[in-house]
Amino acid sequence: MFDFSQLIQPLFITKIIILIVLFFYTIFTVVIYNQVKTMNNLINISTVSIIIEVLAILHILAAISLFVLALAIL
Amino acid sequence: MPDIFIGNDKPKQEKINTAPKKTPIKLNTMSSGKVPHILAAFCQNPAGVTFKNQDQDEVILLFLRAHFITNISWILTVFFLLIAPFIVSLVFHVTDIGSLFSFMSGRMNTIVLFFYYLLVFSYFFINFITWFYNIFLVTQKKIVDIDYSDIVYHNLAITNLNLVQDVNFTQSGFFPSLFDYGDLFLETAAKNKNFEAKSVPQPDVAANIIGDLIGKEGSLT
Repeated sequence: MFDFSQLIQPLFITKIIILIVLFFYTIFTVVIYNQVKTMNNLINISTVSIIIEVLAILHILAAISLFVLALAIL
Repeated sequence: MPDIFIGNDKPKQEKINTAPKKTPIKLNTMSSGKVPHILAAFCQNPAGVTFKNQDQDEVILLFLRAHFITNISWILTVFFLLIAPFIVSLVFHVTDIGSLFSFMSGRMNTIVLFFYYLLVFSYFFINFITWFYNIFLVTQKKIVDIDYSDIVYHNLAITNLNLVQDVNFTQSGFFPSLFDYGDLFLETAAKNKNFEAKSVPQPDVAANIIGDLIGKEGSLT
């Protein structure tokens, strides 16, 4: 049977907080990527714009990876 | 007999302008320049740069953004934030504060540390793109001012060159004088629509280029 007392353990609360924060952070990285895309539509500087967009994508991937990792190991 | 009509025998005096002649800046209306690199802040006739609402025959003559040195404060902050975990762990070892977090496992610490560095990267990236996308463009037809701040705010202001009435620049302070950057101001005929490019490199050259385009001399305020 599930022990509800573990819900008020600081470790469990910390895990939940970390997961929630990571989830919102992942959404935040998507917002940044959308802005980079919008700005690249506004002004395009050949290869440089692509580098910035790639960095924004890598940022999203890093955030998703961390969220998945936290979900798996915590 | 008094003379009624006297011919003007005196030679005409020509006004000689003793002011030093300003050497006109060559404006190349062909985009033959090079592609501005990622940290470029001043580029004449840049190649590979396009903007929204650009006409087919429109060529960018001047590409400006704030001098890279203006980023120094957040770059130093990033360096500090990168080494901060080492300082914190050192403090934890020396003092007994670390025992407060004893309930956290090693895996949790790793996740928190990764997340911390991701946040530092976010801080770096947001500051960088805020600087990167604040661009001021001058074409042979228009002035384009692109503003970007606080991640979600962006603004594109365009005015025709024939509406620009005056151009001037300000360069004051130790760092602007040392690194040759300043603020560029453009007054337009439109109501409440003045353009400004903050902390751009070589503001005198930029003001002269715009001044040549609008038929006025860029002035220092």
